[in-house]
Amino acid sequence: MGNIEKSKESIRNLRIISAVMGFLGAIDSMTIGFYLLSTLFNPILIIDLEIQGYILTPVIGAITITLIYGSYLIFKNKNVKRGAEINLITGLILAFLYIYYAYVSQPSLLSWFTPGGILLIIPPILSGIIGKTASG
Amino acid sequence: MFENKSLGEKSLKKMLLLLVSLLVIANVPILTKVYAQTSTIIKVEPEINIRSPYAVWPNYVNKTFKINVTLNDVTSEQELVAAQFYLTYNKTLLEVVSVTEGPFFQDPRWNLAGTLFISFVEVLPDGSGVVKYMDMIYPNLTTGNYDDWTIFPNGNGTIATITFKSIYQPIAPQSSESCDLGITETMLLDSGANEISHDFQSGTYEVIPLQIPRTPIDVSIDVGKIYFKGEIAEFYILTSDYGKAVDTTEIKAYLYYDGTLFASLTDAIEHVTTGLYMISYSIPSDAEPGTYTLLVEAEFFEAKGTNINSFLISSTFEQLEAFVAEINDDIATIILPDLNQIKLNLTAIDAKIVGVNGTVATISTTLGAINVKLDAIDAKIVGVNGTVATLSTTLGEANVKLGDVQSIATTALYVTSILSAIAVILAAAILIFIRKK
Repeated sequence: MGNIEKSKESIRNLRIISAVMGFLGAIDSMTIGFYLLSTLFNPILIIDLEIQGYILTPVIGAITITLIYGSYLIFKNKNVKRGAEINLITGLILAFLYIYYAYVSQPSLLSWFTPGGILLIIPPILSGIIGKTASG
Repeated sequence: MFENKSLGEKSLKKMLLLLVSLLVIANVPILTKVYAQTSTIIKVEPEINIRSPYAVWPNYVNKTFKINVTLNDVTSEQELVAAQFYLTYNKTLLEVVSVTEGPFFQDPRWNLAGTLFISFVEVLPDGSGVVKYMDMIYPNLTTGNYDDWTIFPNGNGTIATITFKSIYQPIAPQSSESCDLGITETMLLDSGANEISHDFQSGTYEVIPLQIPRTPIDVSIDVGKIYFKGEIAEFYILTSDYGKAVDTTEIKAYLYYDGTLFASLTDAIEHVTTGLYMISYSIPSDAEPGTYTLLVEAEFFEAKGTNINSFLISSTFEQLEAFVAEINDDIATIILPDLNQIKLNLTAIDAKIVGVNGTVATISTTLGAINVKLDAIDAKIVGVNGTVATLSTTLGEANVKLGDVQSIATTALYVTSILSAIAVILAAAILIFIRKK
């Protein structure tokens, strides 16, 4: 009986950690998006990069909302597994976005923030992994 | 038409004909003059009488003209197959540019096996120039005779075209010069290598003296009101005589400042078109600001002309609201409101980007600050480092601050990454704690 209680408590703690990581991932997503958009729409650079800005705006918005939604599902224990999957996939998309602007795009907008910028994409991925563990 | 001779004899005769012709051309005199017995005539056309297009200028030196040597009133019965003449001329007046075969012998009706055309331009012992000419229709090269010919040259036609260049024109009050375009040593041969009687008619060449103006020529100088150090100034000079633009025989230009010679611009004078000259002068970066005077002296044979014009060299365009319209090969075209546009060498004025505001960059120069649109200096982003962007431009690389919003965004990135690091460490610690528990 005691073990079951302990296990439930552990799962609850994992859910809380997963949800917090998910919410933190949403904040990270917003921060990355804010920086990228302020750069892309900067009057000095707007000639070259304006179009990328228009594409990136809805993408960042969608990533942020999805992470909040996934974290909400985990936090409220409504569908932890689904929430975890949502956060994991969204975290991977955010990671792809970061890697693109850090290593691929020309001019590189986030290369100056490597490798420290990796810290920004760990929380949503970790949220997904922990959430999956908590959902059994 | 031909006597009943063997083929070998006929061929030999043709070869002899050719040999005789070549000997004549090779300056072996065969003094055969055949005076008018028939109407066939070799003559020079047209009879040249050169006059300047107008009395004063331009002169007729180095101008070219053509004359034709023609055969007239030839009949097919004469069986003409070869012609020769010398054309003498005065070498001090004329120079032969080219001698070309005329179309008469090349007419396909009687040119069945091709033609042999030879010409030389030589000097006679008396110093005269001479054009030696020989043209011949080849016989049948297998049989060596003209048995296949049903028709021989007839009518009128040009056998040679000679292009002369006039190399001298007297100057008034000298009298006009002339010379004969003398036809000599003429010979027409028929298919049996017999001479055909004919007459010949020479031409003449005359060139009238050039009238040189004695009154001063007009010299106009066009300069701008103001120039700047490092600017590539363009001065225009127009020389004219009685309202007609004329190319001078000599032109000099000098730039004076403060009563002393500042620079000789004679070597920088470029001929644009008749009577129009341009001086492209890069104002030195160490030129003193002040009023400069351009003096131009021109000569047109005996006639002379001179003029001056002044302009200002300014040390700065700080208050003129100058901006760069375009930059090509380090030369900037700068618009100065109310003063039109100027061209400046950016290296000479030590141009550097010192700031960017929106899409306009500010360039610092030795003449003061000027603005330029980023696309005019071909600005491209080569890197972004937090709040600083690196731009590559025609003026070199420049680092540009991206503004306050960018600062906030960069700070937010740092803060959230620290928060994320703390959260990840805490999460890892909690997970380890839960697992141990």
